[in-house]
Amino acid sequence: MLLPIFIMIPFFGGILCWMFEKYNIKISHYIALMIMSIMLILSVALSLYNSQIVFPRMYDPYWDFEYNSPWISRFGITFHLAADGLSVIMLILTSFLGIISILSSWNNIEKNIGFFYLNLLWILSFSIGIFLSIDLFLFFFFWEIIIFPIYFMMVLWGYKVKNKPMCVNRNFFANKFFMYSQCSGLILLCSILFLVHSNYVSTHILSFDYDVLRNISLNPFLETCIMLGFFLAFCIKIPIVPFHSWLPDFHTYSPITGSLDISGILLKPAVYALLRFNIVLFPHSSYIYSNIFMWCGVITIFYSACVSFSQTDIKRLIAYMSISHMGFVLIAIYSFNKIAYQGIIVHTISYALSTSALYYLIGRLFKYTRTRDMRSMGGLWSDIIWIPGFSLCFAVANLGIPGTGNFVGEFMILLGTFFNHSVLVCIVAFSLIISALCSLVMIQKTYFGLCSQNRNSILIQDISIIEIIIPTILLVVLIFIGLYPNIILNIFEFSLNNIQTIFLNSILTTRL
Amino acid sequence: MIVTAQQLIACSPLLILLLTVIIIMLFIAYSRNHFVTFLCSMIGLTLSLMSLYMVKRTVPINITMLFHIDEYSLLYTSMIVLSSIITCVFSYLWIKDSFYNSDEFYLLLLLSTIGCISLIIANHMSVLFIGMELISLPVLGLISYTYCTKNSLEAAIKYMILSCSVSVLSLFGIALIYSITGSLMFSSLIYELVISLAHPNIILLCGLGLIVLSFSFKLSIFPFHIWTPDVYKGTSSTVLTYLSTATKIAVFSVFFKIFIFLISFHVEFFRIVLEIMICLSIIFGNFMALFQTNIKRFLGYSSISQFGYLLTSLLISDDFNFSLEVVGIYLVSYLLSNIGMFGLIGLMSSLNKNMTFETITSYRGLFWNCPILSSIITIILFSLSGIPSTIGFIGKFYILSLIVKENFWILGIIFVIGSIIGIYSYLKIVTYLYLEPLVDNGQEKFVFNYTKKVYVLVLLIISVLILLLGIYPNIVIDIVSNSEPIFF
Repeated sequence: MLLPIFIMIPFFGGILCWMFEKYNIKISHYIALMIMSIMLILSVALSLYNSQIVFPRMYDPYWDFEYNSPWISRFGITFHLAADGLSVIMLILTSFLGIISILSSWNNIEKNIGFFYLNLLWILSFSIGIFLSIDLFLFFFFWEIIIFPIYFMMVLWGYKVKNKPMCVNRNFFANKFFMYSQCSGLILLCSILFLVHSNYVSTHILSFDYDVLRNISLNPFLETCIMLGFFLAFCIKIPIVPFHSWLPDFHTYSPITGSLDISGILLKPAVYALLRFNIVLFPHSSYIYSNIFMWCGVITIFYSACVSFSQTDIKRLIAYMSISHMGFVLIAIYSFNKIAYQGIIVHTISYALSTSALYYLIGRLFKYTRTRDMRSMGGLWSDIIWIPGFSLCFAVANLGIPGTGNFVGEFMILLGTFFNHSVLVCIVAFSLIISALCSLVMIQKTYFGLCSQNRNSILIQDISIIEIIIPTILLVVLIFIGLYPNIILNIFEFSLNNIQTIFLNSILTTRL
Repeated sequence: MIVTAQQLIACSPLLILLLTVIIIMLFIAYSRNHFVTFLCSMIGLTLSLMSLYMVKRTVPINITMLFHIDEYSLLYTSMIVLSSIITCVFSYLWIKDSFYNSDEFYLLLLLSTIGCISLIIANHMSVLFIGMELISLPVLGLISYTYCTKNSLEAAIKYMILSCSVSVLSLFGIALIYSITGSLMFSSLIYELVISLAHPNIILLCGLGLIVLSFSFKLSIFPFHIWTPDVYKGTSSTVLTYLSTATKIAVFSVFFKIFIFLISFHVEFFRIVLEIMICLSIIFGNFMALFQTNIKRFLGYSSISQFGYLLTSLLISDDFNFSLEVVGIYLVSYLLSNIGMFGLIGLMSSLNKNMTFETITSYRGLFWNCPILSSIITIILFSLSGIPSTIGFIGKFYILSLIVKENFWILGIIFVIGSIIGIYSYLKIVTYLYLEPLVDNGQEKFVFNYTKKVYVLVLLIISVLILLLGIYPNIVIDIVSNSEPIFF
């Protein structure tokens, strides 16, 4: 019963926040904060418990925690949750970023605060559901249902452009996000059904269970088709370049906490799913197509890094940079190398932290200057205390300076990939220059240079304690990961080993 | 001809409704009282719904040679009676406020319900024809009930002319079948098909084709869909609650029973025609729904595509139990969401006399004035578009798994494209709900008095049911999979 609690606590906590809104606004804040703190403590406890027992079994179900109960027995669908190191680390990150999101929305949301926290906590609850669910139907269920709270968050609290036609309205972009997610979901559903059906045809076991489907052997054509379906579905959500256009718009028009969530939480499920499902379920075809996917990653990196140059909106710039970083992750996933895999996790985590921090700081900046356009900023360094310094720290962390987690992640990805794909890595390494340029341009245009005319040149001193605490915590964690990455690596070491053994075995058989 | 007590019991839903009709007629002759008529028809419908429980023990049973009752027909009868009950509830306030001649509405509704039930339990071509006519003639009266409003008569005439011409065609089809088989029983038709399996008789197939044509007109499948949006637009939403659900469910249940035979005897022509019709309905319905500004027209087009999805269940190779479940689940979801949607439009129109709430723009900003109604609409629209945690998704899931199971690649692609377009068009309405309200859209004057609170409660129950069955569909699956037809 341990794992369902993880989904239930934020779910019902959200409802609690909503119900207590009418008594006192502050109560919702504290309830939400308390619930996420409980979640963080629980998930850390899970990881500690996890690291104590290490027993290598190869073909048995290798979950550390498991919960299974029947759901829709007609289709063999079960409510099957399970966790190993990979899931646990994602849980910790989700609940940590959840706390940060709640703190960052502390004084910023004015209307319907209870409903806001309902949405926020449901996003967290459903994303935890994605990380824990092992039944493919359940996974799909959470994958789809997480769209609603995000959609409502964007529609109700999003960034508002005044006196503009419908097509630049936030609702338009919320719909765009919804449509992209729905396309992804439908493709995923079709692929899952194909997979389950072909399993049923060969074994006469109707089951959506990952543990059952893991042992399936398909004919190459079918496997390729299903694998491409899964890949496409996850690709839209990561996002990879031809399907990326929802992300910058989404970031531009979502509330600050909302985009903090999506950068930290929503990009991760797709990465997680690629690792967990695409690689393990279809090792052969993944291996065959790995080169194509890696070049997709390269295109993603360079395209979005170049596009982010031409942005004038800071948030869009960071959004494009985050797409570019996702290209690294894609390359690493299809490099089939253990070091690169470890790099993925470290990179994803530290990237989520640094981007969230940047979004947060931009939100603060927006509060003081009422603009996000870099052309109307400039010379802010001495006007606002704290924020420029933090921005510089995180921008530099974002481009991967040694000592931060981003460096460790990027380095491990490149190192791991280099063993098999040296040319590709050499090309990719050049992108670091572009991303460094992007970060520097952002900092330069915003904080240095000439003062622009239309800003109020009042020295902004009254920065509240929370505004300092949030970036400080994030920075400390980021540097801590950078200096001592083993603490993360140890947690998921074992589960990564499992994933890697599966396709190493399969590659060996392919080569034979 | 001897009718046993058991057969009478099995017939009781029909008999109770007939009795109610007679009682209401007598009441009207004595003195008109709207409330009494309403009460009578509600009691009659409720009793006939409850009598289904009693009937359940006697099935399967043949009543003379005309009717055949089994678990399958019980399921659909209960759905139809449910839809009539909800229609009665919602029409009470609407009729009380608007019309002098109020009692005939219930009479027409009950007669049409009787037609639906007799169509479902039909075992004979004559009952089939009479049932179809008994559905459509009272519905004609219902459509033109608001004859003072703008498009009402147009809708009624359109429906009448098309419906009558199609009825004539189906009559011709029945005559053709009779010319070959010499009997009007369904079983003789089946018998004839079985013995001429290798070379089916052309005249027989022509006759069947004409009957199928008349069915697809009633269900508004692609080439015969032209009437749907116009009739939907001209009809009041309360009548649509009935028209869009009960008549279509009744017709589909018979369509399924007959067509499943044509497929299982591998009449290839029907299969190909059906596939083309499905593809075009899905694409056309969803695509046209995208451009609608009137919400009733929108729902009309969306119902075309909904039945396009549903017809997929007929394209099976062997295991028809599965498609039985598909049909059951899908129709339950269709019933719930359509009742909810039209009931809600009717309720909102009655809340504000100056507005009809027919254009989509009039829903703009509803969330800020009335969060409860707008969340009900949101749930219903999400269920119609098939998004997880609603019963609509379970229906869609069933259809997709059927497509996967039978390996219909082209149909699968059409399905995905169609539902993506569909989701977009539903989402457009949902977005309108959450925009800032305009000043002059007249929603501030919403006042819920006691009766209207009851209506909101009914709608709330429907939407909660949609969610509950979406998350825990085992209940419906059990009911549906246990109620399979026993053929003739």
